[in-house]
Amino acid sequence: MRVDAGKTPLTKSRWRWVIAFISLLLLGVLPTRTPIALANSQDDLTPEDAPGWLNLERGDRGATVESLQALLAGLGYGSAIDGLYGEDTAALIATFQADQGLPNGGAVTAQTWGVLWTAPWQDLTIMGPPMVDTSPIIDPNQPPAPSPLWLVSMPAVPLLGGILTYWKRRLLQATDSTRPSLQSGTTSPMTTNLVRYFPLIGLTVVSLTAFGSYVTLRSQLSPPVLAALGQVADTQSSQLDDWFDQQRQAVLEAASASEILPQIEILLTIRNTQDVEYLKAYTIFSAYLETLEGFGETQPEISLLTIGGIVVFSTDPQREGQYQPIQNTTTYFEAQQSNVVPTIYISPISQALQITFATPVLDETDQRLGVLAIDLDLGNLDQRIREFPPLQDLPAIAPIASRTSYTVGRASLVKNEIIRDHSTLDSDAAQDAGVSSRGIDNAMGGISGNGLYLNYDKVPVLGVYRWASRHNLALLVEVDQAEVFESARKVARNILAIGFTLTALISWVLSRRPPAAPVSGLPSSTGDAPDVPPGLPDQQ
Amino acid sequence: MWFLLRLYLPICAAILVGAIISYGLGLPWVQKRSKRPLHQVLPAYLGRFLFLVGVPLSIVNFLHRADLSGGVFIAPVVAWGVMALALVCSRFWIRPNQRVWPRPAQGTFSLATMLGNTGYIGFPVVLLLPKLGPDYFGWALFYDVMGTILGAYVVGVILAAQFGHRPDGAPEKPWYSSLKELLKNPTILAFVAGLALRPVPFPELLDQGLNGFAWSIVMLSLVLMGIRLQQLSSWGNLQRAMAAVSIRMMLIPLVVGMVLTAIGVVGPPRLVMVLQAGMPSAFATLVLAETYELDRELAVTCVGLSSAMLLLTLPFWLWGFCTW
Repeated sequence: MRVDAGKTPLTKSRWRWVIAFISLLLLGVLPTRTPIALANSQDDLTPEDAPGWLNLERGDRGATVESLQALLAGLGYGSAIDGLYGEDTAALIATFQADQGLPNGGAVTAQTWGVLWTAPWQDLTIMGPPMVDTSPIIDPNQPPAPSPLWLVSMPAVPLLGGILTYWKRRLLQATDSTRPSLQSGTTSPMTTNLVRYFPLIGLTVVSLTAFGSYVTLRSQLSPPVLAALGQVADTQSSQLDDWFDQQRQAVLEAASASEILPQIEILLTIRNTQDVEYLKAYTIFSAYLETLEGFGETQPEISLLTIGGIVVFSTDPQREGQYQPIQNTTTYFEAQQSNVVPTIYISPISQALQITFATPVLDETDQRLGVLAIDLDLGNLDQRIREFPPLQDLPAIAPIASRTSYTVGRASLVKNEIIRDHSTLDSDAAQDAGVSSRGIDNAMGGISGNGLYLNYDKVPVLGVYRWASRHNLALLVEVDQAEVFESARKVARNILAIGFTLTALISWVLSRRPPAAPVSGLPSSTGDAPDVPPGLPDQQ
Repeated sequence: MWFLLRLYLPICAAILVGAIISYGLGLPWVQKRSKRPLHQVLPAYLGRFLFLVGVPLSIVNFLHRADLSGGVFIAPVVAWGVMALALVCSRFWIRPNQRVWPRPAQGTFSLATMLGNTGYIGFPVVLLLPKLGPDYFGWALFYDVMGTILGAYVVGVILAAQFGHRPDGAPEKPWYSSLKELLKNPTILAFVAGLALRPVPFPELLDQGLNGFAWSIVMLSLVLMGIRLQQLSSWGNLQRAMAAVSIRMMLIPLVVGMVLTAIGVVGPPRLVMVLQAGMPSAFATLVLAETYELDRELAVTCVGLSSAMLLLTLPFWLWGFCTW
């Protein structure tokens, strides 16, 4: 009888082996599909790590050459697939490399393979070479992410432990009951507790593992991004320098053109707007401003002022005849001044930040005739700064869509504003409070640096901030944390999904097991008593 | 870590002030001089004032300036998820040894695991934390009002009635009597009023006055907490309390944080949810335990132990879920 009673649960529940087996299979199969594996595959393309068979040269032959030719044919380069790297193939490769802006005319390198693999096949022949951003992403600085297998096996270890413990227990129980010995309590209390509290233990272990992986991965993801943002900030800083230098130069050129001096003199001396001479001078001066090339694409508002500050000519005709104070708001400089720090103020017309360059117009004897005042086109500056430099060398941020860079100026003692095109300003937007974030505040305080903080819109970002003292502006380059940490988030999600499923599954299997009876007496043969296992030792 | 100091300093100072007041009022020579037991009367009055006037007004104030955009409505969902998870976890803990657990202790254990002190300590933490501040008060408020309070009055009462005894001599109440209490709850009324008043701009003076009042209420509720904590007498049942507090303050916030991460809720909302899920056991546990004759001693230990634990767990959650 005892033998039967002992053996019954084992034979009855053979199907449970199947469940355990399926769980193990799941563990083996799922990790290979995690996104980390996909993300890493691009790292394989670094030239140093490329396997030798990838580098092809004239005269090579074989299956690799065949696949190369197939790829080329798919992209519309030639059609012959003979497995021989002859003159024809070399010519095709050279054309392809030239089209894609790749070096190494004629020889196939890992880089060429990368472009071949990532090129959009059908569209390429029609649309020409793909954008630079689709080129393979190579970053030697980025530390390799932990393998998905490792990450997923971490929660699997305790879970597997649980399964093994359970089956060991079952076997012990079976053998114990076959011999009527006194050592019925051989299973340690630790094992018993592990089984009985399995749902809680599983939940804890899975969550902790997911948490640990998330935090670890997150801490690995941010340094390369910050470094890349720092490089972008360097580029944008010099953009800022260039832009202001160009504007300053253009202003000086406009004011010092000797061929237009007579007209300027007329405009400044004859105040009668109906005078023929005046109208003629007005038209010529207006046409002259149209021909100015120094300002490039920017469209500044240009005004001509008398020494007293009365506007006699302006590209914005509404201003003509009005008084424009030069002292406080404008940035007044002369040709010999090399360093000009712009003054930023809130324009009373557009309510946006404004910089006005002003320079004297001198006659032949270097006497001051009037003043040329130019409202800089800050919308263009903003557009220029928001445009990122080419990102081939910065793979850490190339795929991140939320990247942004902008400049901030001081609007008043307590208020900072973003430099932007005033036509895009929303009139009733809550701009009154100004913008503030740790990056902006630090940069405005003259501190340059980087870090993780909430941007002015309360979005967590990774950002680099610089104080450009030459221009009285703060420069910020930021990307959303959510996007940077996306891969860490996905790993955590996968661990949770697999872990919780396994915990639930195993807990269910365990709850249907026959109750443990380590003290003495018969082990119950019916396994369907999930509620109260009788005969448990008191736990205190 | 300087911001921890900015958070801990006001909280600890206020609680300490409360504890000192309570201690002072309990001294024999103070008691001799007054006719009534001041150390019992004062917190009762203070609690009544906060419950009826202070907390409702400060809710109206903070609700008026809180940002309710961006899916703040998932906060109650998280709160209910937390309560369900807590109930399940407490069952998992009790079930293997169900025979040695008296029914009142089981009830208290579940309640202490389920109900967090999201009002008296949860609000100040969110408001005082420099990384969150009043902008995110909406999340904490929705969690508390539509989650914890509803949970305490509905699930909490049902659970307590299941595991405890009816108060002696009390006639059997119909099930909806607790719902009537719910409708009369000033916090919920203030919540509704605050929502209704949001579009109405307050005059400058009223706005500033209300804000100042609301912040003093925040500190005052911490003082009251200090008084109550000082008067918690028993530290019995420490082992069971440890289990309840560990589940409530370590396991559940961890699961909440990771599940929110997995479904894509990140940034400040996630931190608010994790912090609210990891708040110490509510005083409501104690009230319910006394009303329904559950294990009062266990409830007292849980509240005291978990409140002390908060100082240890807060930095951990900030480290894990706050990257700004």
